[in-house]
Amino acid sequence: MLKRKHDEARPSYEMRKEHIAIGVMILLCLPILIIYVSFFIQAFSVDGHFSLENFRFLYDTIVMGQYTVPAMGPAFGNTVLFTVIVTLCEVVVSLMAGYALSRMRFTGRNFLQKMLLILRLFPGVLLLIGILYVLMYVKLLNTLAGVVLVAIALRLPGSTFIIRNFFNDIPRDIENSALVDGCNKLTAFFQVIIHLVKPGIASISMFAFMSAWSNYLLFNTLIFTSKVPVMATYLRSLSMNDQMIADYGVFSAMALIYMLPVLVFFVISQKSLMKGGFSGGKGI
Amino acid sequence: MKRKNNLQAYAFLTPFLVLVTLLYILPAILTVVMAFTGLDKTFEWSFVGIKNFRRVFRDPNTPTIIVNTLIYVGVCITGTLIIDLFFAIMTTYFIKSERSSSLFKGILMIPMITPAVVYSVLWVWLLSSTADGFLNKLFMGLTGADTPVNWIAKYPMQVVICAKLLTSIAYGTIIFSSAIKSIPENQFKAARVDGAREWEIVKSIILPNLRFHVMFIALWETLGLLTDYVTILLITDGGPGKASETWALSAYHKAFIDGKYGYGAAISLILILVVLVLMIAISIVNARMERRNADA
Amino acid sequence: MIRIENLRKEYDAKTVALDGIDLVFEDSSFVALLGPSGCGKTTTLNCLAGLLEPTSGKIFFGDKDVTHLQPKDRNIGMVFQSYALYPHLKVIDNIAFPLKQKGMKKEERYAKARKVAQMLQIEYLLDRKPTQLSGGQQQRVSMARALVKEPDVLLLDEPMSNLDARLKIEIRDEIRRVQQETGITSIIVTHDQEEAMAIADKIAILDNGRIQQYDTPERLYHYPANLFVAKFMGNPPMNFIDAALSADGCRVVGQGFDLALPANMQAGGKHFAGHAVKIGVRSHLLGVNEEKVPQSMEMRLQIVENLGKELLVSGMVGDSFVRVTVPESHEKFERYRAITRSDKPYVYLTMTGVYNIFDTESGVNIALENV
Repeated sequence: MLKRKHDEARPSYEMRKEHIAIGVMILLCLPILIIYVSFFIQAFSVDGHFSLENFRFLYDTIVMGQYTVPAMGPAFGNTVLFTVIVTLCEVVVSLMAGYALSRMRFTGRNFLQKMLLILRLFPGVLLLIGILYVLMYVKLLNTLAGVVLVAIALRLPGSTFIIRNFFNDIPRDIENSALVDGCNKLTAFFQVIIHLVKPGIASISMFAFMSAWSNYLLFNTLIFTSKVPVMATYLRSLSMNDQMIADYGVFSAMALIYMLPVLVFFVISQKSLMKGGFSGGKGI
Repeated sequence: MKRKNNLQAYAFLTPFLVLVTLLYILPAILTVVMAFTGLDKTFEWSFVGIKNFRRVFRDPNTPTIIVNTLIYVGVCITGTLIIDLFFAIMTTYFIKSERSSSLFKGILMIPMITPAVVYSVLWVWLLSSTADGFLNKLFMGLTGADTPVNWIAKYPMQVVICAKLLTSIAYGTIIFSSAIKSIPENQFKAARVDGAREWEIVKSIILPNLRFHVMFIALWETLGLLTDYVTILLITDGGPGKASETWALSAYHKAFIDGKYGYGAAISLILILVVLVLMIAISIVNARMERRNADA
Repeated sequence: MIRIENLRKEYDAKTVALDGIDLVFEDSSFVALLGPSGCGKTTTLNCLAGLLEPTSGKIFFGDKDVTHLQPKDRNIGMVFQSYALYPHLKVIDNIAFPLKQKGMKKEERYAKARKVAQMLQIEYLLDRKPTQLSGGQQQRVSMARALVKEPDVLLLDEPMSNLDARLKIEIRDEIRRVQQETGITSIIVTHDQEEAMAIADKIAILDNGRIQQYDTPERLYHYPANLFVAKFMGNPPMNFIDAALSADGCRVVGQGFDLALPANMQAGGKHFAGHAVKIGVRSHLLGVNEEKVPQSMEMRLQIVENLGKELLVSGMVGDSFVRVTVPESHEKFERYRAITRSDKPYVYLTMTGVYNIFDTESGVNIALENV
């Protein structure tokens, strides 16, 4: 099943080792799959029978004991909005900064390069207390806009670092060629250079998407009201509710809906995720 | 000309600089200043000197928290490195088939991409204290014990370590795996012709070639483990009592739960100093790695 | 006509890339900028293209001062060492790219692109992506892209250094043919003297940011202005024999020889009288005599090799290693071998054509020294 053409050319003792290795890996990976499948399969079962009853929250309010589960709509909408804005802005801002740092000559360039290296490594989570104060001061505490700005800012050094490296890899000749061929700096950027950093853009938007979609901590620390729910805080508050947790059916159905976009994105991008771009990731 | 260049460049850099200055650098300065104040929910600045720091070290919970942090980071790092190396060697050196190896790596990545909130509930469900809990059913079935175990309450540190380990496997495995891929095939061929066994190939070719990557992952993951507390927060919230509280989590608790921002900032600041040392170490490893790559 | 006047380029206080370059390129001529790496040839080209701004000096295209114009406003075509094709565009869009920047309509620019592709015989490649092309094909596409806008000047930056030896010659001839067909003033940067000799009407040799000599290939080959040019030009390299000028400046004397200076060097000889010099002579412009003759140099024979069409005779004149090529003849080969093995392994060299004498200290060719 997993054979490729050139495998046939490899000696049989190596193939045997490979088969043993595959067997071991299957044994080790199986528990992960079993746990995930057994958890999410609950979404489709009510009292041990197959049912889609658990997904009723999609169109109807549901009551569990004395507890009415608030509709998921607003949380889902906010999460989509948040993720889209954060991903877009992060890509645009880091593209601009990465381009300048890689390709332009200006006073202070060396200083900014060094700053980028430091900031990329520095974990922004440690600054949440300070960030809280800044947001309060500019009256953005408890707003989606505030969290959007923080989410972008905290991942920005990492993304800029990645995209700057992609820019650095573009041969100088191609850029010069575009200038000779009649472009100015701006048209050269949009007509030529941006096409050459597409893999970099793919990689940072992937990380930005995944991290924004899953983000819990920023909403937990920077939003004190329940007026701006997102999927992460919504599910968290449900998971703290004893009645919800007595039966995992509904929760697992909701979690499945929440995870679906991530899974889809993951399957699409798994290859490039493994190849490049991984080098700068890791944010909150 | 120079002025025009500057103008153009800073036009490109402005959004980046504004965001980073407002939400990275300014908060960093604020954190340092706050650490010397008694700032609380009323947000009144009152400077208290080093009182916060004295309180940190007088707090009877501090030794427990330090020990927890050391155990958490130490065990996770050791475990991660060993498991990562094992998986990387398995999926790259022994399994040459691209498709099966990326399938396995894909499975290992699932915990990493699971949103933290869902991931934590998965563990709570897995370790549920009732007789219906996944692990309890397995445990009672295998050992014949008749009382379910409250796993999370009984073994909080072990649980958070396992949960964290599982999410961090993928990153190192992929880094190591691509490093193994870049070892010239000739080295393996030469060793095989010389009659080296697989274990010797791993020991004398793969591991030496990976030494900078191992150092880098060790430091990078340490940085992450020291500062990222979301997994613990969501599974045990540091409990029961302070049984699984770590340093970074305690800063969060003091600031965001108790509203003692100044005190929380002081705890953070101590951690920031440790982080700075780690960052310097990472830069040194990076510089060395680059120099080696340039030589090659 | 293109004119460069006293061009200087400093990257910082320490690195001076161009140290006062003056050059004139005649219309429709093909000029090569030749020199070792770091000599300033590419910097000169980039200043001509507008990709670099010179620190001082001026560049004129015709009567127009273009020194501070952007590349896009100079109407130049450029071929890069790495070809610099746009990987995301098909070949036809690559070629038509400069026309697109001028705002030309799609049909019109495709028609022009096809015409240029035809001239370079790459029509069959138009629908491919650059990654699907071989090195030679990429090189032709980048030529087409440079020519499509009918530029006033064609700049070529080491266009053949990434090609293998056979393809190099093919492309070199192609470039020369296209240049003659279109009559576009062309400037090529290269470090390969053979390439420069084959392709260019005139060659400017640069070293350390200065022009060493700007002349036709023939003159550079036979009358190098200084030791640097003499060492750089010609394959096999020129022989250099250590000697000194006599006190009266009429003779050049070395170990085993004492020659009268030819008429064209007498003035220079007087000027450098008494100086240590090097005699520079090409290996095929020396004759081998088995007996001592007047006006000859004694050489201790070391090796005789048969290269097929000629014999390579090597040995020492004084402390200088000298190579001589003579037309192949089996008889001579055997005789020279015998001499090599004998206890008196000497032959006597005479000048059979042009030779030069360089002042060792300053490196200048004394024949070209005007006093």
